[in-house]
Amino acid sequence: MTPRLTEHWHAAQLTPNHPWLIELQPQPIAELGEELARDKGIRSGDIVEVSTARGSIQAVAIVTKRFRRLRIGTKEVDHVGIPWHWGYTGLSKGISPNGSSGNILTPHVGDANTTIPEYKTFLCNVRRI
Amino acid sequence: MAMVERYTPSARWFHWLITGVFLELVLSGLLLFIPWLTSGMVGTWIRLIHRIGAVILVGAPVIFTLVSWRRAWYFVKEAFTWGKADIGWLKAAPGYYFGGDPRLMPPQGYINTGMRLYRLAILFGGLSFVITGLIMWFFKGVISPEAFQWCVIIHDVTFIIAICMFFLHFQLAVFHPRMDEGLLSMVDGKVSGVYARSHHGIWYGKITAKKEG
Amino acid sequence: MAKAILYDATKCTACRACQVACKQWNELPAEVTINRGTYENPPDLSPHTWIKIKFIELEKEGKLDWLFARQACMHCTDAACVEVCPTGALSYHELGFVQYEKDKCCGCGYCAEFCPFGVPKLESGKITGVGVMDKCVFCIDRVTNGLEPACVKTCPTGALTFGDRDDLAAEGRARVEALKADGFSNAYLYGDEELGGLHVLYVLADRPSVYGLPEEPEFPALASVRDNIFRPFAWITWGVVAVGLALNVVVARARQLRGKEES
Repeated sequence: MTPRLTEHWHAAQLTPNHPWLIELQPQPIAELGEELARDKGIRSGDIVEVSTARGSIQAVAIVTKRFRRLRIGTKEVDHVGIPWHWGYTGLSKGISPNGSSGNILTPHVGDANTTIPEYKTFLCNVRRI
Repeated sequence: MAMVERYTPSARWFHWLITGVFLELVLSGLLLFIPWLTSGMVGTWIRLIHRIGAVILVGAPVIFTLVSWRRAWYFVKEAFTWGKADIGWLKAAPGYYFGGDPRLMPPQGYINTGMRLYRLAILFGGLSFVITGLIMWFFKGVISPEAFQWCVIIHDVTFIIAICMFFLHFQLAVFHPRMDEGLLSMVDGKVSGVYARSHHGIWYGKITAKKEG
Repeated sequence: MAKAILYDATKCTACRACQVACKQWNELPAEVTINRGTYENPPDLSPHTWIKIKFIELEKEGKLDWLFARQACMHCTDAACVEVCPTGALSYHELGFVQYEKDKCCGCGYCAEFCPFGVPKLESGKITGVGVMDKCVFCIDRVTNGLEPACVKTCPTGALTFGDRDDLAAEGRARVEALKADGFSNAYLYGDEELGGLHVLYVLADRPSVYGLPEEPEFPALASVRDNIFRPFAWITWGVVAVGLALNVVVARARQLRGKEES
């Protein structure tokens, strides 16, 4: 899913060009829970690749207690949080050559009435690089 | 009576080099010790000069040892070689150095007990300065703050003692009426036979015996 | 009238506007950082970073807390850094905080080694030792002109407030009582008494060690030993030795002359 960060705003038009903001949040991140991290052998600070049917990006993993494995019905569901503040240009570019923009991963599906894109949740894979 | 050679040229050069460097370190150290005398860039430059002096102070004995390791070893060994003459010196020293009857002082070797003690002070004091100084220079932030603080304190204490020892050394070499040939001997390397016999009788006996034999 | 800053960690959202405001007001450059697997950046205080927020994930009895802690100069009433600074660059301001005149710093680094909180940071050449320290100066230029420090001004939640120390301490104590009533039994006002009283007070929901703060910060004994004992002792000792040696020369010369006359 694609949360926002305090330090950046929207896609990579403005804030990844600001030194004081880049100092706070320098690189694209992928937040994941401890159970998922353990299963995949990922530690905080590792570079990971997050991929969907549409494409893949690289980000720095942050393993956090704040993401818990969810039990939905009979299924166990983990989630990965990718902020969408980076792109292919700016003082702070993404990590992968394509700019690590969250929008590379999102489905091209929109609301029928407003055409607002459904950016928020979709199936992905995460692996350590 | 003829003059006797007491200090070789290299020994004298070394002595004066160390004297110069030591005084530079004392002065720069003293300026740093006094609060508010060394603000800003002045303080930074003085610290830099202090470090340069420290490098020379460590480097000179190392080079001396590499050039003439035997004499360097002998210098250290003599400091730790104690004998009967030393006990006699310790008993007679207070009276002797305050102008009492000089015949009460037993004959001494090449260096007398006082010089032996001074040499020990140099060796241990030097080690203390160099070790604490090196730690403060290169290991700031690496060692614990407590260890650093102790280095500062030990460096301070060594400094206090070193100045006292230097005062003593200077007074004896320059001012003391009985050590009248001390200073010049470190300049041209010679003392008179009279001085050598009265102040370092055992050594004088050995070298005159060698000449005759 | 002593001033202080009250930091209520329970109201902080770690937005880090304080970090940016401090940089902007003091014209400090941004550090080049990478993400090391945490939101925290830069990794530590430095001559260019005078305040930062720590992020602490604490799991307690099945509940998760995301705690935030301000890290900057605590402006101690009994400041070890002031005591050991050889040039007087660090000193006490009449409003109670530790002020700093960068021009006087000679780069010795003693403040960094004696501060119980590890606040002063230096950048200096390893070989030459040329370098200078920098730290939070309580926005002295703002505070002496009737303004609040930059961090306080910008804080959106009111976690940071500025005012007379007595008032803020009372406020802090009241807040701690309210937290205790709410079930935070370890709530604590940090800086009320520590080191003579800190001029940055912290309202904490848990023990200081949970926030990475020393439980009982101490004024290093060696700091006061150096200033109050060694310095006068050194001068007295040298004076006594010098006088003693001079007397020795006088006496020895006199007796020697008398010896010559008699013989």
